[in-house]
Amino acid sequence: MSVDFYWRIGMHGDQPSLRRRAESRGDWAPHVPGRIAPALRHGEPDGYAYVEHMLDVARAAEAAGFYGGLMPSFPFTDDPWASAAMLARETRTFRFMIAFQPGFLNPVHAARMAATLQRASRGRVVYNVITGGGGPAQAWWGDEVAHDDRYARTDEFLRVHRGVWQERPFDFDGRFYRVAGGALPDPLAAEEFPEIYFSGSSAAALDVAARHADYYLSWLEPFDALAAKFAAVREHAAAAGRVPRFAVRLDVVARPTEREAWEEVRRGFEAADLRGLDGGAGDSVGVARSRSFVSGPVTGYRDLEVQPNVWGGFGLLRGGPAFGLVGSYRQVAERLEELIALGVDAFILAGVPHLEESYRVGEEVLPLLRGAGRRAAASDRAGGEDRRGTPVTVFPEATASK
Amino acid sequence: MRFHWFLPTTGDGYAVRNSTIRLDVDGVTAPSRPADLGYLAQVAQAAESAGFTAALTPTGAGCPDPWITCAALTQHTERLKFLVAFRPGFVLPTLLTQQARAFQEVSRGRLLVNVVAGGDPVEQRAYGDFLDHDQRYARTDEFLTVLRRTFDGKPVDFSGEHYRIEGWQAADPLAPAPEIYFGGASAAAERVAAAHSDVYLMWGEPPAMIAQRIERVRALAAQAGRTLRFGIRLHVIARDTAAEAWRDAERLLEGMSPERIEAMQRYYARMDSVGQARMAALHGGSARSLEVHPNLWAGVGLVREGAGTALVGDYAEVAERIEEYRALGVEEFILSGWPHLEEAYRVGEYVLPRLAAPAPAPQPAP
Repeated sequence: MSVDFYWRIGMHGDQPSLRRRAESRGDWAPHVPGRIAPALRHGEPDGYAYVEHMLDVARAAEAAGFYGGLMPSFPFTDDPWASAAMLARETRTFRFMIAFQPGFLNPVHAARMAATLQRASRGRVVYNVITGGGGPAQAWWGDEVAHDDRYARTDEFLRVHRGVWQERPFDFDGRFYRVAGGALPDPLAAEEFPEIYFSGSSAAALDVAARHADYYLSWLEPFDALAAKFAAVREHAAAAGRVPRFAVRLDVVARPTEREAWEEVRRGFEAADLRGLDGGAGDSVGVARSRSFVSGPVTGYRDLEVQPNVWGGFGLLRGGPAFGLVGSYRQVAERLEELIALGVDAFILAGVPHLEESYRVGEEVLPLLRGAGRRAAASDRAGGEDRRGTPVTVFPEATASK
Repeated sequence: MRFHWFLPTTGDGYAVRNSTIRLDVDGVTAPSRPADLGYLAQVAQAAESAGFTAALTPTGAGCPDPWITCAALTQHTERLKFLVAFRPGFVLPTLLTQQARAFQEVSRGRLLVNVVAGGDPVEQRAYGDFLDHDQRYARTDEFLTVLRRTFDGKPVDFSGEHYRIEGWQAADPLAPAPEIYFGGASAAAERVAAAHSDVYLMWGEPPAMIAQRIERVRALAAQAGRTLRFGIRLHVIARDTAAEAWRDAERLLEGMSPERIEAMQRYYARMDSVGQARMAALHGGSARSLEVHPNLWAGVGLVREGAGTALVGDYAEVAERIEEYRALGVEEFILSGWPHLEEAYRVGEYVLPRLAAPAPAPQPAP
């Protein structure tokens, strides 16, 4: 089983660097001359749209060797479905891992949208199913179902979603959904059902993940904790007769030397608001876990280094997972190898700024991984021998046994 | 002021590469980013996102034909113009006008042309052209005389030393007529530029040398009853701090093998280009004193033909140097850096906003 590397596509603008928090690429901040953002020039719109920057990032990540892009979804972002549709036609092998929350989408409509996009993109849709995250974000969506019920709802959603796609005609009578004679039309139903990356750290989450996840996705944690979490997931999945793979989402600051990498982090830390360390995220168990791994007072940026090259302050520098890797290209590659040995089959990496860092990580870090090579093109209709744009992967025969 | 970028059609990465010739010598490696259409499109798109007006694309025996490359790239961009190089000796002005017309059509009016007379007699002869330096400029003079008329849609009957055209038919003028950019440092070149070009281009010599050339060419143009604009071609290594910028210049130098430096010196010696001789004199083949003016680094020219100097410094310093050239009368800046994608973003985000009177935004064609 080869290892897939995804890169995050910013759906809410981007910082030009970790040390420049107030500035952004995209139109979420007031326009300042020089910003990569739509603008008025001489009183007229300049014709530039944020999707063009997203395209720059997607094309760069594809050329740099990433298998696909994570398209996150929050109340303050562009929509990942609409964005993926725009990016699909301008990329060749790049897959789109669309983050969505089942509760906020009708499962039958979602199946039709996804199958349509699968067809238009030649099979490049992937799901990142998110159920957690209550609080103000949930209310923003117009939903008020409680945490454990949300997972029960996700379970039903995925059963309906898959049913109308693969068990036509499909009837369902559940707590949250009722469907009679559900069936995608033939050409759409013929499309391959997307791989499911599934997030959630609570017991309710592990239960549903066991039944539905192709990849169990977690934010990076200290490696021991991660290994224990994976063991728990494997146990739950075995009870449901399934064997899931594992994926980890993490940010990266990799530089030619360790010193330069920490310098970049230090500069970002100095511009950050330390109150962000205690920021709330509703009833998310995952966020609470992240916070629990950093013990003791935080006075300097190195206090957040929980093990060599594993730093827990990324949430301060940019919204998202707290833990990521910091180090030289060689060190970051070694830590990724350790995670692969621990059982990770896919990575969702990110760095700021997302355009330049995709090239940096793809060109400098991924090739250092033991067993690194190029995957065959995702679609056999890609046509022609083309080394560039075919994703980098790690071939398991060449790595240490898991 | 207008700011342009550059398309690295011989490949890109973190090393200085030859842009128009192929040098078979130790130390020349394959580019870490091959210049396939997909990557060039990314550079063009980055330049467009970052606010550059046009992208200069070189011509030479060692690089792909710029007309084909740029025509293809027009379909991957919306606002970016293309400053396409050509050599008068290798194409007839009538055919060039026809190509320009088609280019304007497929690009919706985004063509600019860069006249290159050619500076390497060995390369010229390999193409089948045996004119000497001054004859090449005499030919260029006739070429541009015809071109202005054919761009204008006028009928042409012309009988000169180098071109004879009979019965070229009238047509609609090219709309817009592509502006003519012209570079050349010799006396012959200056006369032809003054008589015909819209923009006179110079490689990034120190300000004092640039000032003299501007004065001379301006006077020549005035004698011909014309005004023209001045442009400069410079590389850029701009960073948050001067230390980081100089460190990256040092890294570029480390990637230059002695064999390559020696081979380039031999190449320069066989050329009859005055401009190239002026560039090569700045470093003199040695890495010893490369900062020939504050923040002006001549290291690039040790291994690269054509533009051989880079502005190196933090964003404020680089902007100051650009202002220094502007004060002398330079209005157009053709910049580049390594890699060309990342540096386009960097210059667009951090250097251009510091400069007075930002250029008018490129507008989509009607």
